[in-house]
Amino acid sequence: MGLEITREETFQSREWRAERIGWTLLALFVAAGLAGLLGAGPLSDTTRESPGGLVDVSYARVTHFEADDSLSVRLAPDAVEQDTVTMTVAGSWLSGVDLQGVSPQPGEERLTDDGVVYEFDVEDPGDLTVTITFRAQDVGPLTADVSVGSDTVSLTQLVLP
Amino acid sequence: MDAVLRAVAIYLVLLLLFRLVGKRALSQVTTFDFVILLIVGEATQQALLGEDFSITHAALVVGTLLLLERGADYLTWRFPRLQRVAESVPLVIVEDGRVLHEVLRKEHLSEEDIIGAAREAHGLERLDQIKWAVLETSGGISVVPKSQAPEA
Repeated sequence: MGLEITREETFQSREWRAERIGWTLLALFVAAGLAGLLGAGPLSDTTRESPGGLVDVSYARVTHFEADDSLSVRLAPDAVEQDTVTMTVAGSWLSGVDLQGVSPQPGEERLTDDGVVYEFDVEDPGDLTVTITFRAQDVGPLTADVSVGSDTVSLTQLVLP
Repeated sequence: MDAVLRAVAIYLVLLLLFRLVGKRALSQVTTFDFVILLIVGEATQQALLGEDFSITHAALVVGTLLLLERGADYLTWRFPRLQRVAESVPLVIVEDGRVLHEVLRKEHLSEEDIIGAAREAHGLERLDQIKWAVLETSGGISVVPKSQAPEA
């Protein structure tokens, strides 16, 4: 008398094939994550410079919903006028993120029609870097325009859920 | 990138720690062991997730851990030497009816543990009914009873 068991050989071989496809997809998913297609990483981190060269922004093209992230803005010494730098941030990005802080703290912060204006007092014009930390509150693409005077750099961040 | 690296780091740390603690550590999950397991989960959570509460991040962490598990299974199958390193080897503790006390001492096992396993699996009553007992890599003790029929 044999073992009382239902053998499903065709189903089993189909399952083996499906499993191997699944493992491959999982490996691709993790590789994409490692490369930065799904969040911060080598393929995601980028730097954009404005046409006039006054401002450049380093940011991650892909970021996550409800995750701490930051972007850094480098301001050229030429951007300093009368010991202050005036930087404007505008676009859907402003309403789509929860701004955690701007470092160093601006001397003045104004809300205008165009967006938010930050004024920094500069003592010794050199390489000026401003770091903005934020947490995305919207899912999808967010665009921001960072400008100094009429020199603007536009960037788009994709926020994944 | 962050999610994958965090998951790999935690995986390696836990693998090393649990390997060092030994086979028996969490083989039979008592109430207290269960609590310890929960606390281990709580303690690693922060390191795994950081300040990122997104689904993408969670999916990447879980995906990486599962892929590492799958990869480890494959590697230990492909290279048996690696299995020895990662999962240890089965250990004979009763050899043809003779209890190997030296081995028991090394593994901090008592005869009680063997007879307990024999009771659970085979309903045996005494140690002398056991022919073979093996401490498996999973941490459990498997028992082969002496044949029911009287030996010739």
